[in-house]
Amino acid sequence: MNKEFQPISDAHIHAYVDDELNHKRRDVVEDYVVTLPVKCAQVRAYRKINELMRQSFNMDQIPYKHSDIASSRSDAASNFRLVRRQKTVMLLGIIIGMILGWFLIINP
Amino acid sequence: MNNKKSLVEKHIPALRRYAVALTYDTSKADDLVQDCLERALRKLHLWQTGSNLKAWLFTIMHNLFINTQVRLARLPKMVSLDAVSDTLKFNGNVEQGTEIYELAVAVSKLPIDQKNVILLVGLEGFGYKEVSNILGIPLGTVMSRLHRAREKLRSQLYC
Repeated sequence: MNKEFQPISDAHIHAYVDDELNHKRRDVVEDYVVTLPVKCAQVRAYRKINELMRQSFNMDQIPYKHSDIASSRSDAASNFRLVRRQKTVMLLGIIIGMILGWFLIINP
Repeated sequence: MNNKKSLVEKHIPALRRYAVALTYDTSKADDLVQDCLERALRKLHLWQTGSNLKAWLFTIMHNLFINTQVRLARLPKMVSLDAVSDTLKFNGNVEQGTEIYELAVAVSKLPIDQKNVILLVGLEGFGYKEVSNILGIPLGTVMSRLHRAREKLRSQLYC
């Protein structure tokens, strides 16, 4: 079959834009695209969309590193330990207070 | 292990870019990236050296995103224009800035299944097979979603 008459679907056009075709198939699709202005415009639009997307969501800064994750985890753990310690001290205080109060009541 | 961690670190900007593009909210995106990295570091022993680490990380992020959406029991239907503009980066060229803005608005209106595919292919440059693995959908579905997404964007931007 003449390569000009091989069926080219939209899937091939997308695969051509995204560089997913082997060299042979790529040449066939390229020949097809350049001869049809409508398909040529379609390819241009798809490429432009890819380009704009890369530009629009271009994040230059790294928000954090692993050391930050590790430190945030250890911070959270130490906060948890501190709160637990405070609660224990408060509970012990209440118990001791109750015992002292009870002694004071029975031995005025 | 530290070598693997440094490999993970290299992909943080890409993960963040994808998270921002998915959520259109930098703080939500950072939370998503943080959760993804914590999960990845916990499960790093499951990743096999030599396999595609970036795809593995994106699979984790995709699953976390979907879980969050399911938990919230709602998908992002509408995004405010302010939220969109806050996540974009302009280089001072007004015309290009307008194009970028219009594209971002158009992408934000895509259904989530189409948005995932076009972001992974167009923004992150994953191959179709990798996208199929990341999203857990057949290759044909990747291609049909990509086609629908691109045609929607093209009709909104260039027609």
